[in-house]
Amino acid sequence: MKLVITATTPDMEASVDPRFGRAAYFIVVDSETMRWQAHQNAGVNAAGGAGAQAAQFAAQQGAQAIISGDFGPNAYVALAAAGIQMYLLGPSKTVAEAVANFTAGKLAQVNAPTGAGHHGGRGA
Amino acid sequence: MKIAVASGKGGTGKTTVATSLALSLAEDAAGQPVAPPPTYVDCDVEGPNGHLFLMPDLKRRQDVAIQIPRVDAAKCTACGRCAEACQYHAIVVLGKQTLVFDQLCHGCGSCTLVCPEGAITEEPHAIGVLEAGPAARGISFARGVLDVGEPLATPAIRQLKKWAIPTDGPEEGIVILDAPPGTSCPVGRSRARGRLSAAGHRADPVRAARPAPGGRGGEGAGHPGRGDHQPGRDRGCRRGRVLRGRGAADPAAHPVRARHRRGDRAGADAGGDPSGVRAAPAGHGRGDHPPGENRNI
Repeated sequence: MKLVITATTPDMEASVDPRFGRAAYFIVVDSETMRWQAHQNAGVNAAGGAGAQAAQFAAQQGAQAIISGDFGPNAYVALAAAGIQMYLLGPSKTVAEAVANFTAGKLAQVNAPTGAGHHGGRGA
Repeated sequence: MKIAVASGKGGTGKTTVATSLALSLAEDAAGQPVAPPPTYVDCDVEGPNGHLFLMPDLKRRQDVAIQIPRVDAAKCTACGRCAEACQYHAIVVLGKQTLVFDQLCHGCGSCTLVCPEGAITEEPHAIGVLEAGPAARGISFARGVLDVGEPLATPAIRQLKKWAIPTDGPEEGIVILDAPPGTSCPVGRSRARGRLSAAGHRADPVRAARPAPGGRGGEGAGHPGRGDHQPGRDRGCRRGRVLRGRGAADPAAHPVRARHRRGDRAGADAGGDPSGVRAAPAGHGRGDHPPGENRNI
């Protein structure tokens, strides 16, 4: 299964980044082969719409699930529309731990936006 | 003659000055009404308060709207050109779906222009209301009121000015533009085409309006971009470019301005006046202004 995990540095032992749209890096991992690739988040300094842009990136990568700490309203709507599952990091401290916890079924799935959004003072 | 009353800080007396000016200009030395009477336009659409002083009878009303895209899924091929064109990240393409995030849309119309399938139509999205009517001493009063939570003040100000000041010449008399506080886009939009600014921006409004120890002004407190950034730190922000750089950039490079030039939009100014929309996508007051440029606002 292809996963995207938000990370602070571009490697598997990186600390996870609790933000989704504003994460520093996205680590794309195949949970079967454990092959991974790191991508810088182009939207980290975007003025707005970072969550939706990150969702578009994940969809383009063919991700089936995302593991992060927070999914705002735009990100949630976009990921749900793309049929990508969302999971919270839970106790995971590194990207490798997040993958292990996911595989072990220990992570909570997200079924609603977890934040109110950061744009213009308005929720979606 | 248009006179814009502005300052870099909230609570410094813009409305006191602007309404007093309007009242004093409404009568001549002999106390007779002036014809045409002065026009007072409250451009602080996020918190208009000129009506408290001038007590207008708000007889006329008009909605303010921006045009937001609707994608016809039957025609859309998910080519993604609209999402690429959108400078505000309001459109994303996910597989075969094109999603529009209304609250990120600035109504620039770029997506409609670039769609090769003609799959995008636009519908109005109300963001506030314009109100006008006669006020004390025969003053012609107008104001805009932005809906709570709407982030885009500049379209409301642009449409307010066009609605309240239909002529542009000696027949309009004196127009007092009561600007919002701060130095950001709404201020630039308010004073665009003003012949005279009662409080000059060149005098570094942030420094000039540095609050007294222990207190911040009421209306501007806590709102980024309303003059509460630290003096001397990020004075060289993009906002300065809004106020200074009129005509400096290529208008065709900016989708909103490109549309204005095309003139196919209700509420768009004629001519190449780029202020107001210029820095809109660039993170109002979020501390991402590159330091060191445009030192003199």
